[in-house]
Amino acid sequence: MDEKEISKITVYTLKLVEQTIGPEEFEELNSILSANPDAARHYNSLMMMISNFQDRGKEIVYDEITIEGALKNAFWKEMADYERTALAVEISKEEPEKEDKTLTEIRKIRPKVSKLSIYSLLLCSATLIFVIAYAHLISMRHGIEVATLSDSMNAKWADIASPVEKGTRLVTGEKRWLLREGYAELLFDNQARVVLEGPAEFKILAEDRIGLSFGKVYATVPKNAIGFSVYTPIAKIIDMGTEFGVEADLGGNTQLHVFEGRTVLLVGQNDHTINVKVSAGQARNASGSTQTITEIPLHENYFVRTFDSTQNIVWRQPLLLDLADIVRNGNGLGTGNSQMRLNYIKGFTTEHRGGETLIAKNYLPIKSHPFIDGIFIPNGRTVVSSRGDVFEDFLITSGVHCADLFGNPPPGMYYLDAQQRTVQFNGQEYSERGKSCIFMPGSNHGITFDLDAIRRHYNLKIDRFTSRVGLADFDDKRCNANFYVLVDGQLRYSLLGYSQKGVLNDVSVKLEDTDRFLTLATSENVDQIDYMANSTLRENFCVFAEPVLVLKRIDSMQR
Amino acid sequence: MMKEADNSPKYKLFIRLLTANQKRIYGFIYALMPNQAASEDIMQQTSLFMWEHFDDFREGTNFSAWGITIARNLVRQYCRKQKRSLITFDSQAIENLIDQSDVFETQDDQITALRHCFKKLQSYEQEMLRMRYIQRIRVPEIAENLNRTTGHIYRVMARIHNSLLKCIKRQLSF
Repeated sequence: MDEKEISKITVYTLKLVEQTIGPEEFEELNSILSANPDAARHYNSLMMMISNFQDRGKEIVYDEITIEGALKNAFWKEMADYERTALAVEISKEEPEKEDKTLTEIRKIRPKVSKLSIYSLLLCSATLIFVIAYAHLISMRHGIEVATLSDSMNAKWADIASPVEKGTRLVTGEKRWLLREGYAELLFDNQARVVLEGPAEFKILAEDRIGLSFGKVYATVPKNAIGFSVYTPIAKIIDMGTEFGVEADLGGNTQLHVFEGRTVLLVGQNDHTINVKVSAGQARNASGSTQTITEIPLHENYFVRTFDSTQNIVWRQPLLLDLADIVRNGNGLGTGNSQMRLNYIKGFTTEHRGGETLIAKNYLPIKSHPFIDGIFIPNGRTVVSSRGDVFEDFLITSGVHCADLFGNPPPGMYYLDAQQRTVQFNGQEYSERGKSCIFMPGSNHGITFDLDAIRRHYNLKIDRFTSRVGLADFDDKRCNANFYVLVDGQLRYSLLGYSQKGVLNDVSVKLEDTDRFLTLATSENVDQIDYMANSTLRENFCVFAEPVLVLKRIDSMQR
Repeated sequence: MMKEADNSPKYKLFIRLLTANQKRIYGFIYALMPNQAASEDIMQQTSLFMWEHFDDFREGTNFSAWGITIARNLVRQYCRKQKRSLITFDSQAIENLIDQSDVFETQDDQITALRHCFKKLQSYEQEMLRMRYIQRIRVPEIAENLNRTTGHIYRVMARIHNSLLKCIKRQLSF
């Protein structure tokens, strides 16, 4: 029998036992069993195993059931007591590791728990309770290397005697890791990645399991590591291929915030386990005192999702780089200057220009900012990068510009008909105090970003560019504009002859690692025969709202 | 007959042995006849036959193996008498299953091996089995809980069960 046939027999047998098998499936199973004695043997073995699970399931999974059963409320209270004092405990000496804790051994030491507790109370009751708790918590294979400290930043570890450095291999077992300050990233061998924010204390429980006694952890779990779990003193969070943050506080509560995919949150023991599915955009709190689960608001910025130790940058929000901030001479994370604008003759400047119309024929490289390759006025066949990428298909324009290019302009910074204007769409302000935008007043603007430079700087992959484009509704004048998004001179998005004001249109452009330049451009849509009669140059207030690069992490060990 | 003897030591011993082993014997019957009514019918016949021939049973020998042997014959007899219905295997399939039924004689060994092999599973695999056999959640409900298709969870479950079987076979070398 091949694996496929074995799998089919097993699926049919499981369905047969659950009485969900269809008539055709049953007939097929019958045929297989009639024709093949090996199949009959497999079926019998399987039925016997299922029978064993059904009749003696608790005995088979006895270790964990007993362990979980032992962790009743009183025990959790001791745990919570420990945690309340944990930060003050200086870990100077580890408990000797017990090799291969079998159920029998655990049972044997159980009568000694009270003695140990008394002893530990004399020394440091909390520390030993913690050790015992996790000895009971799970049957572990000790001493197996399953994860690597892939990165850390400003990290201060409790165990000063044995410094924890990048590349340190972490083994399963009793060892507690206390990160007093800073950030640490662990990469499990199954590629599950967790970021810890100090203060936090954790243990490596298994190749796919981390125990968090307190603190915050953010987990990113790829599909091949589905099932990765975070254990806290009162809950288990089982990943189903996702990104989520967990906080275990010193009061015994556990918060779960799910940002992508799905998880299962389990609270309680044995038959009293509460099992809740928590999906992206949802958050739950598991109470340590009542063991109940309640819905709570999702906190987008509550967890450190990743960090870059080389740049000393911490990412709490989704990994987004704000191109509007770069346009105002920032790093994309909010460091830009509200007085900065891009001028097609001078480059970055803080000077206000009077609104006169100027011709700019050439591509202007912006050498003062690593992420901006250059700017240009689109007009027919136009060079759009310093590498010489050319886009042939811009509509012919006047080739002039009458305004600078802005990122997140200050409110009221634009004057029209002697009135101060602030970019808004449906009442939402797009300015330095509202949502971000690249503002291209008077159309005829082009800017090219250097994606390679951004990747290099942040050690991140760029997944896509997203934005929403539209025309600001400043007045009742007509408007007619074109929007373009190019990658390496190739058109990836366009909105041509657009004249609807006050509406935003979604743009999403997938980016590959090999893509070098991203170009955003707008232009007037003119009548080519009678340009002056139809020019909308000064009426077009083009906006790239919330223009961001969505970033993805690359393996820290490859940095 | 049983009522007449319900206070005798012999009867008490029989009940004790049957109680301890009937799930195992029933599991064997159910594997051959995955039909609750038919299985219960055969189990009843098996129990009666065993009581009637309990004098032949020597205390200390394997009661469940004896019961399985009887049940095996009764299943054969049942199949000869009964016309095959939609939810019972045909006679050839049952013959094959009976021929390969020696695996049921290793049940105690399998429990030990199963415990060993269960520990080797990934934690999520253990969790799936716990849901199925401890919390007794059926696969369609597990699938709904995990937001996966029923077919997907059946395939996952099949993979877990097959890897357990492989591990058990290595342990028992049968």
